[in-house]
Amino acid sequence: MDSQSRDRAADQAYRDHANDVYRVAYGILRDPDEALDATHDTFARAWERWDQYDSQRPLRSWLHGIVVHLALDQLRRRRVRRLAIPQLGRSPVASLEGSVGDASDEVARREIVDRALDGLKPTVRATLVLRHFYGYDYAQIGLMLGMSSGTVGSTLSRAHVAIRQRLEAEAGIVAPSGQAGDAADPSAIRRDSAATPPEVLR
Amino acid sequence: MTHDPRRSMAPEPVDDEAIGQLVREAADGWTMPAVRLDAPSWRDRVRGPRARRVDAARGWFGRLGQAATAAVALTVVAALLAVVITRPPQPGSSPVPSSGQTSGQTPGPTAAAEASGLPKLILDGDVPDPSKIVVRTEQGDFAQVDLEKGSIGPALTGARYGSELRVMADGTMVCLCLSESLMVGESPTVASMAFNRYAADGTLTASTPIETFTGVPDPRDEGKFVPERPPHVLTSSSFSADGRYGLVGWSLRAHPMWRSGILVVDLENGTVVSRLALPDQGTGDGDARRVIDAPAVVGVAPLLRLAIAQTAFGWHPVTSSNATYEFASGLFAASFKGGQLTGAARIAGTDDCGEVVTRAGVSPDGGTWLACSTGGSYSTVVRRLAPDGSLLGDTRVMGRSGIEGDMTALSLDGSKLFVWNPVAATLTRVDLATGEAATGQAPIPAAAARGPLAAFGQWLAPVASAKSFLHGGVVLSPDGSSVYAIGVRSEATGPEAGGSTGVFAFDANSLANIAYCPPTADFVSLAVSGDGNYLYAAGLPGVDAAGRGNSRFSASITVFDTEACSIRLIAGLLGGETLLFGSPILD
Repeated sequence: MDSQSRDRAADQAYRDHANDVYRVAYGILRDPDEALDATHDTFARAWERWDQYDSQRPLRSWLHGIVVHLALDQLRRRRVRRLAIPQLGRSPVASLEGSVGDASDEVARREIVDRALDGLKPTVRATLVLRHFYGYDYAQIGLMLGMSSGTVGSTLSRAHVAIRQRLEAEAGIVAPSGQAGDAADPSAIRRDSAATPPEVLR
Repeated sequence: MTHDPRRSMAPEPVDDEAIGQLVREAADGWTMPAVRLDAPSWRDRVRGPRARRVDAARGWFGRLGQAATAAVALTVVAALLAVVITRPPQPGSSPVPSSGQTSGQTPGPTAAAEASGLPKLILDGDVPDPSKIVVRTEQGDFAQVDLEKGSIGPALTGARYGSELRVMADGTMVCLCLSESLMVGESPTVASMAFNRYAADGTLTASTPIETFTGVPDPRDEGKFVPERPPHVLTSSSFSADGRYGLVGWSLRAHPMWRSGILVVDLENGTVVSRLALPDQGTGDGDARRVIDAPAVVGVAPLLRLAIAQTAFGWHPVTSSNATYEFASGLFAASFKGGQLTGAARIAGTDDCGEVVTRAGVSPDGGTWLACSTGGSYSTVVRRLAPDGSLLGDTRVMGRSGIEGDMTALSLDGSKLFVWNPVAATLTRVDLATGEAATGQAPIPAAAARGPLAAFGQWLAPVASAKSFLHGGVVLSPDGSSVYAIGVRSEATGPEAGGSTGVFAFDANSLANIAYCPPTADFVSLAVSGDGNYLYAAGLPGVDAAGRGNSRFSASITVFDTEACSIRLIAGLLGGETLLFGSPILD
């Protein structure tokens, strides 16, 4: 493919798929700025490797494969940044004490699910988004994340358990012992979080 | 009536399908923000090195402003970068990203050959002294490392970022230990500082609460989605030079104001011996918001006073993911005598020096000098003020954007400031009396290592970006005669530099490059033994020396003989958390 054709193809890919790439990046990074950065990096990388793209396969999944790796690499750098900028290093611990006050239902719902996702490992969040939003099968997700289909399945299963426990704890209908509990009691929430499958937590 | 969002979730069954739906709903809201026309896009990133440097500046601002870039400042910096930064390509560099992908395959991580990880322990000669050291860990805690065994102990304190630990002469340790709680919007509203004492083996022997600070979330933002998720309470901590006092800076939001101050803590018993209040500052008007950071002692000021720096940032509109950010910093002076910190007064002429005031001191003529950084290593300004507060001059030393951390070291007599450019490997010495600058240059080796352990220095490869900061990246020998500094590779394909070029030693007087220590890992922190015989370099986990992702690498510490920069010891299996040296001199 000549240079002009590659430029045109990459431009079109950006117009068609930038938001899809951003969504997966944000799912992993949880930071709009870094997700935007990863999105542009993805298209830059795609442009550099355009001759490796198999046009018989969906372009979006190829781009998703790139962004997953770039975003996970970016996460590793973020760990380092936390040391450099203490504010960023503070409080990665998901916490449920901070009610959002009198927010609308929609905002509140998003905040609750967002917080539940926050407590999961980045690869688990990526698995959830790739599966539930984009409908990739286990094999495709496994290829993107470098894991077997079986691992994808078990990861999803454990992620569901973790999210369910978080949501139920927020709703105040499940206590760690299985009895009704007070979700406003931080200690109860911490105990509940401890029961979540540790494999999927940060 | 307050609406409880948790109740809206309660009646719904939460089966797998419901969870899938919730994930879809959440992800549906993750839409790409508008891209500013002046922001570098993917096209800029494939254009060439200059565009990449512009991009690096953007990445830095993105980190400072968590949710969005500082649009105005970025425009200025991008323009400056385009004009100012010109660095010829280095020999031996590889601009081509590591690839290894085959046609038609979904791209995976780089497939270039991975270096094997470092060994648990290799020793060439006697065990260096000290062999038992305390390091800061990635989670903000501290741990003891036994270099003789190549092992690291458990977390010492359980404290978080903002804590500070000091090893006393008898081997016991004291800690200004921070704990945080009651999170709102991912930030704590309560910060509790305690004074803890530990035995030499790390056993907690005493704990005294110092103070609890409570900040209030901005009431104007209830029910709003605020991408910035600002802090509500902040702290800093440090020790006085004589080791008698702890200094705890704090700031908290008490809308419509931010309150802040400094506590002085007696390290004998943990009691607060004085309290200094700094002027209140507003939380921002209209749809603008401001955050005032905790004040921190950064040096001394004329008339036997301490210099206290305070940084602030603001942004607007509050709910925008593309907000405009502004940064401000200022310097105060306060009398410090017998543990009494009193009479804070703002030092005029310090507000526009840079984004962060990193150091300050007294000039020979009785005036004030201060060092300010903008963009980490991008720019350091040394400002000199006359005793009457008038500006004598600024000396600006340009560096490389995208690398965070303090790139300066002060000479032992306090008369000169060394400023390090980790990518260009240049060391600039600024005379704090005259503002005159002199620069020394080290050659950047493509690959070099000596001695029986030289093989560990050979992992120079095309990189994926990795490192973005240095902590203790430039340190002085205890006698002040030598300066040691970590070099950073510049050939990253991403927006940031990554990988280590090793440690460069300079003569502090002539600025001649007198030695080179090869990288065994991606170094991020340096320290020197109290006798000056050994140089300790901490390496990042998860990457090799070239900054390329490599899960075989744990955190590591390499000890060099300073005389020849030969490798004395490598402790290569120190866990998965990044380790940093808390003090540049290890006794």
